[in-house]
Amino acid sequence: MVNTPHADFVLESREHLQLFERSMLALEKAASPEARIDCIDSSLRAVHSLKGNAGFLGFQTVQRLAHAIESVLENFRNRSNSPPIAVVEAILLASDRLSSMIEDLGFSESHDISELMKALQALAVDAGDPVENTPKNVIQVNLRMPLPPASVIPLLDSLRTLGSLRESQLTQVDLQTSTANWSVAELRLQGRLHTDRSVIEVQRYLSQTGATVPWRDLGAIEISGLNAQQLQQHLAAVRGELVYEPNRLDLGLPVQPIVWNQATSDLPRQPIVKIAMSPTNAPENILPKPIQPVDETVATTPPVKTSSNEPVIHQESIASEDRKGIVSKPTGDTTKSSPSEKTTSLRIPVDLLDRLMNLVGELTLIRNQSLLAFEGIEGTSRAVIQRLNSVTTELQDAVLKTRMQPVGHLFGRFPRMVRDLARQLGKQVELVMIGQEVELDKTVLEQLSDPLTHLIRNSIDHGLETPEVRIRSDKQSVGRVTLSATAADGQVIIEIRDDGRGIDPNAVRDKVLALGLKTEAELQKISSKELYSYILLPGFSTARQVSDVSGRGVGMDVVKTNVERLEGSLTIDSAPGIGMSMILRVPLTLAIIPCLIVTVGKERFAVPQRGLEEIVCLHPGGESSIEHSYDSELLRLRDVLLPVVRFSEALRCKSTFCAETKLAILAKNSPADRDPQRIEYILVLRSKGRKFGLLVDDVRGTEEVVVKPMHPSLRKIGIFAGATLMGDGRVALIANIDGIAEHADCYGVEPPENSGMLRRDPAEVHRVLLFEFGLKELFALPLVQVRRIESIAMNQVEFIGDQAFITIDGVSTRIIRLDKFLNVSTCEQSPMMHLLLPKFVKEPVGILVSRIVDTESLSTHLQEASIEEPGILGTAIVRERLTLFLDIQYLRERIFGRARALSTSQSREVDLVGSPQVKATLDVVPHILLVDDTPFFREVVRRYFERDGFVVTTAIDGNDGMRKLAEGDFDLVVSDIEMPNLDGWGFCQAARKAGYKTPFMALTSLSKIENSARAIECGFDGFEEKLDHDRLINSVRKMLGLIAEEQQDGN
Amino acid sequence: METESVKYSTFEAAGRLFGVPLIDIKEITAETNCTCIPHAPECVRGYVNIRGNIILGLDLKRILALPTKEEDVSKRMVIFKSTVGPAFGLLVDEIGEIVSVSSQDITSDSTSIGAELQGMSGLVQNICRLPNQLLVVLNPRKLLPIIEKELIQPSR
Repeated sequence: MVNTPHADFVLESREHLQLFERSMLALEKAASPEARIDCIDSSLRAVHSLKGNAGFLGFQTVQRLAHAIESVLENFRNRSNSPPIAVVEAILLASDRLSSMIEDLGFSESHDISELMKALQALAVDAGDPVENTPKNVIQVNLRMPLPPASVIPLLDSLRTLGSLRESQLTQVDLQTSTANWSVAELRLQGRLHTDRSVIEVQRYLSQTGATVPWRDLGAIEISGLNAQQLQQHLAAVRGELVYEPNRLDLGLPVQPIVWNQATSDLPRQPIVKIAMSPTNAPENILPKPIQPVDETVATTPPVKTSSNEPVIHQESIASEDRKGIVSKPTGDTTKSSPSEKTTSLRIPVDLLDRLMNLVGELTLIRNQSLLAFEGIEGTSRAVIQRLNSVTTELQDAVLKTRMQPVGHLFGRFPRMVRDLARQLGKQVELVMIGQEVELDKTVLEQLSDPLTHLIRNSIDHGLETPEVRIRSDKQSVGRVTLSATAADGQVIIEIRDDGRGIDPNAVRDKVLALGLKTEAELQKISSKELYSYILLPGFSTARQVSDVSGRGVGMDVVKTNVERLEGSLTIDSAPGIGMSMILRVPLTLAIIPCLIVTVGKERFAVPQRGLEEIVCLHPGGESSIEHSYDSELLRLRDVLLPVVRFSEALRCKSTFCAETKLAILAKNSPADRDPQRIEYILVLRSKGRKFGLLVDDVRGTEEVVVKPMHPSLRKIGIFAGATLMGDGRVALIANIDGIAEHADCYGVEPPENSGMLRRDPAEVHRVLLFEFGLKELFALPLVQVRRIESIAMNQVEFIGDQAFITIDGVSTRIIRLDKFLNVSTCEQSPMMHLLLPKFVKEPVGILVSRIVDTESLSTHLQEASIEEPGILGTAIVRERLTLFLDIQYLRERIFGRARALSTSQSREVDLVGSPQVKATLDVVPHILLVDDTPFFREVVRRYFERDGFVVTTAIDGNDGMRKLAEGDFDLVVSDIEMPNLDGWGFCQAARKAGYKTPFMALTSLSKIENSARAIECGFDGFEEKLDHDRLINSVRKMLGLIAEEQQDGN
Repeated sequence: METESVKYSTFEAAGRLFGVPLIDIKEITAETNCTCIPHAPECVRGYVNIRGNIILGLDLKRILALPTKEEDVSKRMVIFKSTVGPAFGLLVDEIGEIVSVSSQDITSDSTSIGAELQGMSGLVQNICRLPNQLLVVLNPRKLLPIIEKELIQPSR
């Protein structure tokens, strides 16, 4: 930042305005005159300093506005009552304007503040004392009740309807002596009730409301046998905050021993009562245990007296004047005690800190090198090095701390937001903030702002009910949102909890079912937390049904993404009707993260521990091992199957894994070839709520690494999150867990079938899957014709006659044994076999396979067909073995017959050649020119056409095609696009230029969407995908006008 | 006018002489210990630790597709100023002298050099006639864009 006087002014003014706003909000709630004056004084100071600075620098408009605000406030300084809502509103509006002027200082003079000024001046003048409502009676109220008093709040509510309770004190009686038993401890409420009614009236009134205010029952509340949850509810009723041991309760996960933090605005503030609660105790046993007051003051002196300038009850004004008002309160209660006001600090540019950080990193390295160099050397140098060692470590800590800021800086903006939001929505909201002193790295803090804002909005908007609804469901009319921060294990846990309606698990469940994310049976097993995590999915976020019922969801996926970008996590818990809690866990800092150091090959990599669940070590001959499914490796971990990603393969393969890559990896790592000596290390990692295993060569240990971002030019590389320097001075890369999961496509979903729309790697078309059935032959099928490969247990095969079936995906699938249809060797049956499910075949069939061999590039080895055998398209020498290319269409027609295979063409019943009707309509058999550079495809498609009764001439590229066009007379040209010499585009253009009117069809593996425009441009009449037999034949027929004619014939 | 001259730092790669404007260079280091970055383009040799700063090392020979012989080890790295691009350097075989070339000896006509150096997206900026050989002047600002382009559409 440019260090000009103006820049300083902006920075300072921001602070002044923040303080000002805080004070104003506190003023709204301040009840006692002292607290009020404190608030007003503090806001006056802030605005006055701002005014002075602005005047000094010549920003007159700012100065004028600040002055006007000051005048209004001055007017209220010596009043006994707080300024009415309208005044506060106007002042806040003005301070907003001030803030926008300061952010845009250059144009501050051009702001039109005349209306604001007018309003403020009117307030300043007209602020003449309103008629004070002097109450008739002041009644001393003195109540004793056992702790925890469920009835305190209803009682206070009743008192409030009668008048205003002032100078009230809520104290605990005999805490010291009665700690042995909760039921003996008492609360004493003392205060003065200012009311227009008589004492008798008050008493009668209170006894009338006996149902809600157990006036006569006071002192007789049964609380023995209370468990922690009930205790929580009771304490919540006194608006205290109970923080309890994790896993004790179902709702939320605070981490400290029980702390009752009475952050309430209704009751006098008291020293915090800490109740040590042993986590080993069963909840039922908690109460009889002695309660240890941890706080010294509580233990020694009963806190009868609290400082008199603390606010007491300050809800009357708001509650009576404006039922929609809210009470929001930072824990730093009055502005006077607010720690931020006292902040005295140096302003240091962040880049300087960053540089310092870098230098410390360098120093750490030098230290490490020195340690190595002096290893084993005794003497004075050793002591020096050790000193260097410790000082460096301390320095590193200190520098890291300079980047830390209390979360209070972030929380500070929420009271205002909550106040405005509550007013806008007609709700009563109390915001309680806890743990504002917890520190977080500056960058983390900045990035948390949006997610938190969103979550709080969500809580207020959807979670909290309107006061009417709340009263109807026996809750206090004021809803409470608790924002708490705690630090634990290098993480900061931020919890947003509300006591609203919570999430309806059934609604979520229904939605999960409706979206088909889980089956009913699967849903039975998952925990409620897992269930709630579904609302974080993007699909849920827009689903109004869920958010209407449960009140959650809009934009939650964005929150989750933001949090995950911070290496953090978000969990949700909810109790329907009671409330919900959202827990954010973020690292203290992004600059240094604990990592697991692993090796792959010769390189070391750092894997952030945040995503690490556990490390599985597979010993040779051990019980568990890596299993193979149809296209991926799986690890069975306590009966859960996790996809396994080989880090080495993820590093080696530059493009995202496709089916082919996966099969190749499978083939390379077949269980049979496994090195029996090798120990496999699998890191179980968490990515986007799912787990996968990452197989590495070795695990070296853990280290705290200083993260440096990836070089800007290499940001596209998704599998790394950054780089770091290791102790020996070498650079190591930091793995990006999500990126690896994505790269390896380990939760890959099968693309929808027949999707000519999907862009596919052209190379994939030219790859074939090699497999065996019998012992002798090697078979091949192009990968594009393979839908997937399924492992099947042969004892599950069912027979109808001699036809074998197995159920796959709920569909009874016909098993093709190749030896039944082709003249090939038979296979020895083993208990587990593979079933190859072909693509482009509508009927459920699978080819039985005894072994998947590998995938192989086709173009390099293929030879022209040398065996004339039905069902075999041709042969090739692959890996020095004669390989048979299967004709799937032949097999299919052998089984289902031609008619069914072409069921899409409506009336076709007979073979074209053999049909006298069709023959009659055609003078000659249609003649097709087929142009394709790949011998295999030429052969496949030629057979398709010939079997359908066409005459086919083939050409090997565009130039050859042009020659053939000149020689013969064709009814249709079917051409590949990607060809050497002259490609399909050029070929078609050249043919059109030369005046050929023959219809042209493009037959390609290119995406239809991207290329159809170009196809039309070049002069093509049709566009079809390779190897989809039915579509191709239908299209060809349409283009030849055969289908239409047949239909006429049929009539 | 003819007295005006430009200073170039020269270096060798695959036996050829290259140069970059001296003002673009931050430092030249003998530290060439690279950590390979999987998924990065071929011409990225990896990350090098230069006194606690992580520098991206590019291989000039691979960028220009010059023949790599076994004995040609990249012995030096030329690190550029941040005005040229963020934290990166060029691995070269040998460092040559700093030469001053008068403007009349500088030409942008690249026909005199081998065909393999032409068409490297403007990487070759100028050709300088030195007393006994030609100096190919590179524009270091074009280096990182080559990497970025390669990442988006791999040439292989």
